[in-house]
Amino acid sequence: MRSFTRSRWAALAIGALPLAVAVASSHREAPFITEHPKVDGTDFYMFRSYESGRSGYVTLIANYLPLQDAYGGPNYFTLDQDAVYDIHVDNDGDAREDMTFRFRFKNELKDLSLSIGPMGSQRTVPVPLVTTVPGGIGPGALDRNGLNVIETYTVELIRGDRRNEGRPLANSAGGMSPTTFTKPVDNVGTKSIADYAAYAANHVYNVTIPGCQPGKLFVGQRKDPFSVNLGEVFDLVNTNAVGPPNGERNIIDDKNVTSLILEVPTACLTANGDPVIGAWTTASLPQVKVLNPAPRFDADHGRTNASLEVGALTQVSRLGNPLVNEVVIGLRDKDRFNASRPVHDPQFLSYVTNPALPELLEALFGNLGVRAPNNFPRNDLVAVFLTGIPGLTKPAMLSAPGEMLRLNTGVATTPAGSQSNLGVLGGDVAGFPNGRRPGDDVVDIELRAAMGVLCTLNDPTKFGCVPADAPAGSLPYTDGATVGAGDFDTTFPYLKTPLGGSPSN
Amino acid sequence: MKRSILLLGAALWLAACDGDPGAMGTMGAAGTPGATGSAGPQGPVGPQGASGMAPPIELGAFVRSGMNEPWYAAPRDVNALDLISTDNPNEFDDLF
Repeated sequence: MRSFTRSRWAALAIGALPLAVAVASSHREAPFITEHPKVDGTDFYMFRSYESGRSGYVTLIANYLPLQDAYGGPNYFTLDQDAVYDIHVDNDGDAREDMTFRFRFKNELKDLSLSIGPMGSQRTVPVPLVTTVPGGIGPGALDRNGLNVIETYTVELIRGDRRNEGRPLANSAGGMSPTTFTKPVDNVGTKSIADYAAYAANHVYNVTIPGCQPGKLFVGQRKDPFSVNLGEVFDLVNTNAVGPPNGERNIIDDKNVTSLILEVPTACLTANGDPVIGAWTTASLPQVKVLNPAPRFDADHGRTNASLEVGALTQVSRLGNPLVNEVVIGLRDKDRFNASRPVHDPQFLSYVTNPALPELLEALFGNLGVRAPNNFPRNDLVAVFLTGIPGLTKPAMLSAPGEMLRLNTGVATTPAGSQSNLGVLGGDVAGFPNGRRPGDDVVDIELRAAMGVLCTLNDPTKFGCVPADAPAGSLPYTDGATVGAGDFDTTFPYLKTPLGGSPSN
Repeated sequence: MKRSILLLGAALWLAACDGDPGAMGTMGAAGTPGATGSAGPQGPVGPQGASGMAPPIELGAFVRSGMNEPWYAAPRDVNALDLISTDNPNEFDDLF
């Protein structure tokens, strides 16, 4: 196992001259995925669990369905039951999945009805709402009196190619259907669900994992953990370019998201004695969709037949490192990236070796001293995004580069209270880009990496560049919207209870 | 020194690219559409090979072939497909 010292990486920590630029991690980032929000992956996290007593585990979080307004009834934000949602793990450095955790969902409409009209001539009429009884839901997972839509899911572990057949994860508590789990209904409001936090917590499952020691599982709505000054950024960075790192509003602070969260024993994920693993999430849809001009409710399946989706699963969303498809890949290739696999990433090589973002920032903020790095190819970014950083996140037996989030599970965890939201740049080697924790300010970190902060380390054997290559690499770039470990829970599932749809004031 | 590192990086990259597949060959000829009325099943996909426009595939046949595809099959590359369809909104009533 390789060893690391904090002092070595602490040298990456830099000063405090702020400059703002940023982006959303992966919310609606590609043209096609905007048409399919239910399978739009927004953020992916992977970190050694820092909950007390859980350091032998890795937590994986895949967020989907962006920009949820808590009041979005009556249907709220169920996932797509025709899709598959995957979390892939590469543990031998070949940019191909060795393990896939596959989530499939089923949304059953109970078709609750009321008898309306005078006695003797009543008619049974279906209700138009998802909750129907005040206080009828929670705190127990089975306390769902009047819940009109019940969302369940299964999780399989597939070994090898993702098109292999898998084996199901099972509820350690057993039960009638131990391989079927329940997703809590979204946070409709306090009149329907008096204590949403307790209700959601009762949907955390201890699970058996085929071939591994047990782990934990939760799927449900959470407050979106991402932080970004989104609107002003997309308006040509129309913000205070020299403001403080926390001087701007996190514009998605009022949004929820849907999280697929697993905590898996580290030994289950690693292989060949290498503590480094890579991971990414994808979502796939059947290839063919036909719209039904006359939809009807299908009581046998608890759904309407508004469309028919058939055919081979076709990947439509992909997410490993944050912001890659958002700001690294060109607009014309964003759909292609979402459909691609890490092993085929050489097709996108120019976007990494010759990135456009630094040039754009120089054009926008050249008057403030911003200068794009001039080392080409940008092997410093190749290390961050495609191969892993030598001595930290590069696999021992790397045989193919590929864009994925990489984690060295041999690095000790940092307690929440001691974490730096700049991760490795802040001297905290347990943070991004060594995995990603909820409190890592990846916007600021990646902006600084893009502008050449790694070159300022003067370690050309690792990064292929020297300080002179990045004349403005020491500036502490920021979007002005901050985030930190204190914004999250310190126990599984880490992400905060979602915002409620009511009361509204 | 710097140049040699960059060249090494590029060489490593190119070496790593060896596993990248080339462009897909053009899909083979599609099967014969079914008789008038409900569409017949699509024929098997032809062998990968010579380029050229494939004959049109009736949409109904394409959908029905999708129904028979297991979920673990590889999706079909549609770039070279010429899908044709009627404007009959009831075309798929039997499927719904």
